[in-house]
Amino acid sequence: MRLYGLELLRGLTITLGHFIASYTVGIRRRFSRAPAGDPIAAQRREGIFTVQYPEEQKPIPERFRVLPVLIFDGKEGERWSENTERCTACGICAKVCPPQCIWIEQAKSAEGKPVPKAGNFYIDADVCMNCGLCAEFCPFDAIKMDHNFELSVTERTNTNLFDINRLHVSTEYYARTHPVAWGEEQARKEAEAQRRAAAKKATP
Amino acid sequence: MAQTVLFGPSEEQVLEQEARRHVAVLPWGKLLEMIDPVYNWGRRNSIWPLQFGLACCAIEMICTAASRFDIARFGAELFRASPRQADLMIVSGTVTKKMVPMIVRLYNQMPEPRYVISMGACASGGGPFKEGYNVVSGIDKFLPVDVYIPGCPPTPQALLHGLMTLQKKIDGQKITAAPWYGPAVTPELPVPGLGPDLIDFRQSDRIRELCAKPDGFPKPEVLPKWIPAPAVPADSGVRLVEAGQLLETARALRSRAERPLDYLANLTCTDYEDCFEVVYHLDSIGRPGKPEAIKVRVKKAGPELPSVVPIWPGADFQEREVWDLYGVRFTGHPNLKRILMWEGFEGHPMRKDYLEPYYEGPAKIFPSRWKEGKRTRVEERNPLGRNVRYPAGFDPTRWVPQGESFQPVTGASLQKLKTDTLVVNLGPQHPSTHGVFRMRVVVDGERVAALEPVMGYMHRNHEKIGERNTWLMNFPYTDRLDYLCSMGNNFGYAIAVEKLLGVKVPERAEYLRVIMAELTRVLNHFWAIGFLLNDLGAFFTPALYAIKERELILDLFEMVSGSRMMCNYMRFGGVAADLPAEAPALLASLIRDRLPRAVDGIDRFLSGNEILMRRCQGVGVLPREAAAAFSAAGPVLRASGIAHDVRRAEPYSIYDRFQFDIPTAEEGDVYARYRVRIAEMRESLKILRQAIAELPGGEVIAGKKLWNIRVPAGDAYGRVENPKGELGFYVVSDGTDHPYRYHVRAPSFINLTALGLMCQGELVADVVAILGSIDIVLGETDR
Amino acid sequence: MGIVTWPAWLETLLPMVVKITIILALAPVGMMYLTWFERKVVARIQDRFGPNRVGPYGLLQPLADGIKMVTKEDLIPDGADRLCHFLAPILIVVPALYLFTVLPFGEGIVAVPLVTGLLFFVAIGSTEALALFMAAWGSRNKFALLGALRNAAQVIAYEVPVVLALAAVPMIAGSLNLNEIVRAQSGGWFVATPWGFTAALLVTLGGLAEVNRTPFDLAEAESELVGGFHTEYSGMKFALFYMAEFLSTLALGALVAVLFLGGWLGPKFLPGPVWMGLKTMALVFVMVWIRGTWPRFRIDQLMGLAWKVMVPLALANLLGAALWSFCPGAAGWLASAALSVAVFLVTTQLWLAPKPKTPTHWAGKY
Repeated sequence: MRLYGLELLRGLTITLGHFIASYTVGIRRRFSRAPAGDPIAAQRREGIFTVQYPEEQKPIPERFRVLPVLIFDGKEGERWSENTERCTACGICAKVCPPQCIWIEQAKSAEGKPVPKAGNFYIDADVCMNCGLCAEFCPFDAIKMDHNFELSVTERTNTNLFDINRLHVSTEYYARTHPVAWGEEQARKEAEAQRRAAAKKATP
Repeated sequence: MAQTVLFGPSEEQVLEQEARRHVAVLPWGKLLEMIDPVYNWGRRNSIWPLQFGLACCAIEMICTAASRFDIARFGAELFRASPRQADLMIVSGTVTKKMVPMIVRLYNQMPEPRYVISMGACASGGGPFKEGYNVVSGIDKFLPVDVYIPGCPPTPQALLHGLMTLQKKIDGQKITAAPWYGPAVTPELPVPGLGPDLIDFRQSDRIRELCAKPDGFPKPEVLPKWIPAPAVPADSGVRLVEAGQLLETARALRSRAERPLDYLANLTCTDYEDCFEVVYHLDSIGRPGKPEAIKVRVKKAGPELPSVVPIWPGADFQEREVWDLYGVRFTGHPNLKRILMWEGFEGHPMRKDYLEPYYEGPAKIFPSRWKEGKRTRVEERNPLGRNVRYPAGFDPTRWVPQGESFQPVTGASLQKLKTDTLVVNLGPQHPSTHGVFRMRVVVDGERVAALEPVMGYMHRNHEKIGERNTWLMNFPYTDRLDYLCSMGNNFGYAIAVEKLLGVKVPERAEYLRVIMAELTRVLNHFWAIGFLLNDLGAFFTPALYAIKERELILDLFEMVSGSRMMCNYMRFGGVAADLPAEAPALLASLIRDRLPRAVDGIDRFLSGNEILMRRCQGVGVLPREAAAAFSAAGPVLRASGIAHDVRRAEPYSIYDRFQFDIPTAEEGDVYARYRVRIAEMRESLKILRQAIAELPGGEVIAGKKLWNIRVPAGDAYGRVENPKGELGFYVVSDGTDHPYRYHVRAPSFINLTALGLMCQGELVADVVAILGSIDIVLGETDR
Repeated sequence: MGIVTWPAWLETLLPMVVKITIILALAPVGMMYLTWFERKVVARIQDRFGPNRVGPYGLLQPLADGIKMVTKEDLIPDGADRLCHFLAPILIVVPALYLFTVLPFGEGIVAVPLVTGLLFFVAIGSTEALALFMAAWGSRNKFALLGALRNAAQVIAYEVPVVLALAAVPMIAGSLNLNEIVRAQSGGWFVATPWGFTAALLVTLGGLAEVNRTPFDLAEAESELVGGFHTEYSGMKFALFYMAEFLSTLALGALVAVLFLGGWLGPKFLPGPVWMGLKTMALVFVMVWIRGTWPRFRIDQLMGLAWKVMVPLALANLLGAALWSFCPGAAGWLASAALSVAVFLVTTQLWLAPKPKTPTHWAGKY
């Protein structure tokens, strides 16, 4: 024999519990040691669940992808140049892009012969689907996915067609935002260099 | 006192004119300038959005209003259902041609001052679906947009940044320059018409001019090619049947003794050089085994086939889709109308010779991208700057809109209805969040006499774009089908194509796939339950508790794949990347500790709630025989007492290694579906515990990852048990690097066939609850 | 010497004007901060902050909302009945303001000390149904009209148990004057008695239905199908509807505080009006708490609740109050408590028990 109506009251006690926890758990957290970005601690948390953007930011995992960026070897604050750019205009990213939002114009030498550099590189941000296939398949580690999501604008015709100047970021920036991937890339290049050195030594 | 000059202004007058020119604004203007800060402050801190969401971006918009990101802090959580009380329209999702008239109407009804945020790539510029025949390349073709937010989808923090950009824009406005206080009344935007293509009446003259010329619209250079219909070997298990024999064969298969094929899993069509081939995939409910296929070929000129609706009623919507997109007529169909496009649309879009106005080439990779990749927006190549084309001699000013005919689905015949009934529209703009879905309901007093679902408002042309994509490119597009369950969609597509590729997936990848798929199931059911309660009016609290748990799973997805919703994680032969270092601990903590507690919590909070039970028990009953006949799938099928689950019927991946039960319920009502979902969440957690315990090391992909592959010729139907039901992919390969035919068997689409039956005789207030219990997603329903 | 004496008419007019000004000034402010309170409490229930960027703790949020609503364009639908459309928001807000004139906020602090205060309150409160109907009629929207009719039916249906429950109070207190009723509770609040507790419950829940709040907010829910009665209103007129709903909620809370929770009575370390305020806010908190928790009823279930549960309970409660009053000592308490509990159990169990539906068979025809 079940007393109907009790569940309604139980529902009320559960929400009252959430209400009280939203005040009291905050007090405990202020005195606790777990850092705000710790994902394990985050999910034990009752109480307020809000991340107060823009003053607080939800911790961004390294693999988070928004729009692509081109990498050049250099420091933050420097400008890219033909010597430091990594892109060889092989075109794989333009070919693998599902909505075909990448246009690459191969650079030409002074005589007019094509050289493995990008003369111009465009990405239409109003078409890009943030899939990351361009970064996944670039053989030269030249195009990577960036974390910057603060891209809202009031005008799009001129602003949202990114060109090669806007797209370039330095390796220092990339290493700072993607430490694990950068470490893997360095390790891979190191191993490759050693393998080549060993091969060169083997064959005189 | 200066001397008055007889001709010309006096010295005083000159001085006064100088002063007026350089120094003073009229006192009235000065006063208004002082009001500016207050006026702008009030407006920017109290922006009330319209309850209006189109597609995947709308999910992130809802998450922005949820507890983690909390748009309420900005004062913007009061989403108003009526446009007359809203200030902001956030266009979140792809704008389709079928939906644009509604959007413009809604915009017209909003009072000034009003703002538009175009959220996401699709709303800004068409996004990945830009070339679709039913897609408008950006809402700014019709509405004035204040802020654009790139991203696909933009994360909630990006939307908040967009809101802040709008606030900054408002801060800079002046009341003296405000157009809504200006002398000219802001005109109402003309509502576009749905004729042979979308008609923007502001371009009427130009359209008439172009249609009068013989070559007004550009002719493409390279056209798609057909292949002839491949031969069907006798031992392949596929039956090739003549059109005249179809009904006989169908009845025989349905009533045979050994494994009767009583369930129509999939019905679709392929356009070959010499014929249209309609394929039927049939299954036997409750008896494990692979689906059996029947193929029928009809001639290209005037294609006609008998309808199998009398045998398998679940064929209803699927045959309408084939009629709509291919033009194959099904004689004997009770309601053969277009289902995804609108009546009056010119052409059958999925035919190979139908080329969209933005058509660039038969298959990607488009040569214009590299090596001479001069950047162009495709609008620049089009005479109207839009994705539209009209027949020769078309004159928009003489065009008369076609009226809509009403045809109820199942049950009531219109003759029996009393004369004082009312036809009412529910949607496509809904306060409940199922997306742009419309129902036309004949109401007899308080009860529903008949109901007709109207879809196509989110028809984004996945299948046509899919035929142009390479095999790999389709993965991110599958993310956007059922945008809540992207991992599951990836899984289905991978399974289907791997049948043709014949590649063996490494053990670790199999386990990772299962883990992601089952986490998706938990995540989806949380969302479904939360929003069912929302439909019942529980003002968001259960929905927000559910979304909180979902956010934690999304954190894991973001950590592993790079995106919360559009994971793009699976590849042919495995997964894209291995788990990062911090993932296993989070996985273990979620699966062993947090999620079981959360499921128990939601169960305790809601399952016994008397109001919930009163509103859900006995409501929207789907009888057992009807569930199988209407090709229902997923929890809808299982709540009607049929224990059919693709993971047991045709085990894929490594599901045969796990111990789990298939929960069912007998009543088939809304409450039963709710209970089945809670039970399924517990079963998923069981599978997850086993999976993480057994997770082996090793490779995550077979062989080297290639960016372009050729798939051997042939066709395959691969299916998975997605949280909403059986998700199937029918792919036909001609041996090249892109599919010849790519069809999605969408569970949401086919589950809706039973909606009319479920709603009959119910109260109007229950219709939304019943829809919520089916759990549809429009990205999948309309593809 | 010239001592200034006020003329007689000024002596009556001036206090009136002062009181009207105070109510007109404070009531909207109260309503605005009630919206703030609701948004914050519901947010906290949902593990989030609620408005907190506009001013400290979001306290300036209602001000921003007000400025925005006042400056929005006023849309009048084509072919609408302009007089109805214009009058409806006024007719809904003014009675809501009237309700505050008879509520005592402290010992002797009442705007109009009516002898029949309670009667006035109930009578004025029930004019809302008419204004609702006018709003929908004035919008020339058949769906808004259907919604408003349902709403009117709901309001009228819930008048009966609310008034019957309220009737117990003057019966025991001996007066309809709200100040007297408060004084009659100086021996013990009415809510501490079995009949008082039942009556308070009935008035609170019935009152929720009267002011269209969850779980009875069909008017807003039905906007999925039929437009709520205020669908066609924008700007200041909509603000008035919004204001009326919250003012009624506040007045309801204050009424229950006066009738059952002892009004301005309380230990002397806080002045009377503060106690009144605290009790009102406690009741408003309960109403907001319910809003944040329960799903809403369907129209037929709502009517069922009114007629099948609340009316019998209210009638039985009158008998219970009489028993309590006339039977001496503990017998009176026991009798009225037993009566309340018995009737409550019988009616709710009968009404809440799920009705099993016979399984349907599908004929197989399509």
